[in-house]
Amino acid sequence: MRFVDSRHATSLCSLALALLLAGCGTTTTGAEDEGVASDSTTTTGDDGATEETEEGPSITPTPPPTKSRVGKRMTVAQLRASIPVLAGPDEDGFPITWRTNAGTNPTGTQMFADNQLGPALGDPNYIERVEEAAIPNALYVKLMDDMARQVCTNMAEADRKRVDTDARVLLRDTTLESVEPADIEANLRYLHLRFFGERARAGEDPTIDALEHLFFTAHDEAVTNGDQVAKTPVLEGWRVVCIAMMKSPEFHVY
Amino acid sequence: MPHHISRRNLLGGLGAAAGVLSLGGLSLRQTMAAGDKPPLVVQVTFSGGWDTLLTLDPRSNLDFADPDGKIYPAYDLAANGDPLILDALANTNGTGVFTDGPMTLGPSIPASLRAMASDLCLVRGVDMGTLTHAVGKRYFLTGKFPRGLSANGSSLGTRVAYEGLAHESRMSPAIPNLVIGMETYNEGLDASISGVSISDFEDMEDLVNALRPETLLAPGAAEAVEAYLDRVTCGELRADGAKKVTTFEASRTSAAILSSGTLWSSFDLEGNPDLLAGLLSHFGVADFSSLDNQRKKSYGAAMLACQALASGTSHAVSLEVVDGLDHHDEDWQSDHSASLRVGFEAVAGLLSFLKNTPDGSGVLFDRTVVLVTSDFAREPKLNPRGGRDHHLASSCLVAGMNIQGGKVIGATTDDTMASMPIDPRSGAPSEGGILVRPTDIHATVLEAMGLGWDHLGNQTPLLIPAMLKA
Repeated sequence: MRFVDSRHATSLCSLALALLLAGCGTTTTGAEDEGVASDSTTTTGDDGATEETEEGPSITPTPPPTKSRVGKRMTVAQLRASIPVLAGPDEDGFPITWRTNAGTNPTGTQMFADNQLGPALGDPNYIERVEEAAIPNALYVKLMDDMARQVCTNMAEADRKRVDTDARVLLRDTTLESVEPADIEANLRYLHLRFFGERARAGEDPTIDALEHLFFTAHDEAVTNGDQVAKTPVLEGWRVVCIAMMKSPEFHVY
Repeated sequence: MPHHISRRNLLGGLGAAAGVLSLGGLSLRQTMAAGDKPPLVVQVTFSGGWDTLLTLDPRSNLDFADPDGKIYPAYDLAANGDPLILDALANTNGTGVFTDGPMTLGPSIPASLRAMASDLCLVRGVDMGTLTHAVGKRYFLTGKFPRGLSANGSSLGTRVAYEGLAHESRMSPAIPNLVIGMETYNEGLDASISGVSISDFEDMEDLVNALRPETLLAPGAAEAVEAYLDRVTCGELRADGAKKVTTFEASRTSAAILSSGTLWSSFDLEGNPDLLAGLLSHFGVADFSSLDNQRKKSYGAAMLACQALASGTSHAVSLEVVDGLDHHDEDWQSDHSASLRVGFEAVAGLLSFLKNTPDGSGVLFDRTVVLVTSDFAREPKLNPRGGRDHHLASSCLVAGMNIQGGKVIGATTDDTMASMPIDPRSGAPSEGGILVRPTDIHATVLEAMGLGWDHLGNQTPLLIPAMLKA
């Protein structure tokens, strides 16, 4: 049916927004965190009205709204500058970035260049196009997947070959062999900060949990089926984690 | 656990809600217009401002032979860079104007397009209201006069792709809105139909195939990555004020289809010689490699558009077939006509393809509207440098679904080539009539496709019934 009562649609929106708020407010927001205590129980009816209990009227503080700011997608110039910093150098000191050749040798042109995929990603040429349309459209998302696979594969391989273990980039807080949960978590926390510019929460953090699950899934699949691009199952696990983080909107939208 | 809401479910819910809202806003006309398949649109741009005297609004080279006159076609001078104009002059008793019923076409229009005159609706005297490239170009892209230099509203292709989402066929093309070598705008419409910009077939190959396939993930790992990305994080919600994250998520499904490589068979012309030969036949060419670079670019863009529409990959394609037409100097004599000719050859090839490609019980042309435009026109008299400056009264070409072929709408005056008001019912010049603007063309084109044009409301659009089939 084409014509639907708009009240139903509004209800759907409200439900979705409520779910959004519920997902963000569990640990750091709300009355408890702000030290606001309530001695009485207040319930909210279907019509949204506040009801009195036997202990008298009370007002439940409204949870602070989820703050939303104007997000921006990384521009091509930002990607061009950021990826080598994030990915670090290879074992020979060449900066790892997205290049036309499969490896890290800088003789390969950067894919972000004007004569490669820069224009397709929205880079202005300042002749016909003077503004960058930094829209995360299907083409951008697809090409960032291509980039993530190449860059992360090279990062894993560079760490494997590095003699100085302190200089590792992808496996800085773990070893090439470790599957100890403590090591995995420590390295994931480091990567969270490196990729997203934000520290993971102390204690239990759902993002770290999800990444840990991802690491072991990729690792176990490599062990069981031999499905791996990196040289070892552990490296494959980290490669996959790297790809997932580099494909995440948290990485591209700030 | 509240943090483990599935992003897909959540955003799907939001999308569904938005979809319901948008369906509720559909006009009655839209619901009535639904056919088996959604309408398609192709917007073709000649970038830089075209000379309408050479093409869509010609004058006799004999009657306007005075170099100091206000209108000076100067076809003989344009022949310096395009010898085919000499043939045109010879074949038209020196006028340079080809006549086919009510239709007159200039000497830079190739024979392949002239042969389709009965399918073309030619609108003359379109009042562009600007002599600034970015403004004229964006005016015809969106149908709304730009705000300063900034586009106002969404591109025609974006609008049609958006309407395609609500079509009862529920067809969901992989790249609803393909944009080849030009700008595209989406103001406030569903993010999933934003234009995907590419330059050529090489870009298309990169677009519809996974690069570095040797680095692809194992199936289990790929599934786990998707599950990870399906989560909603607070960081993303905080940064979603401009809906960039929402757009990112909406793009993931299409991106996955692109990476799968399944679409490439429709665009792999090197790997499919029969497909290439079939396409080239519409452009009158046997060997693509024999073409000069300009034709490779123009024909290539048109061939991409053909395949995107015929394969169901896109509902809307916008393409630039010619750029760099801004010839203020002697380059008007050396380059302008030849460039226009190439562009119109590409348009003719595109139309030929649409008219000869089966689509259900008809052909693709029956449910496609093709709109051909430029930034504005060029002055009817040569400037002291031997070139032509910018001129307000332009023309455009429309063809396809419900568009009246063999029709000329409007005119320009014979003294200064100024736009003349028309009676929109007959399309003939009329003193008490209206000046045709890009807004009116957009409204009429959308009407022809059975789509609404309420979004143009603040531009006071006027329908031109004379452009439509009775």
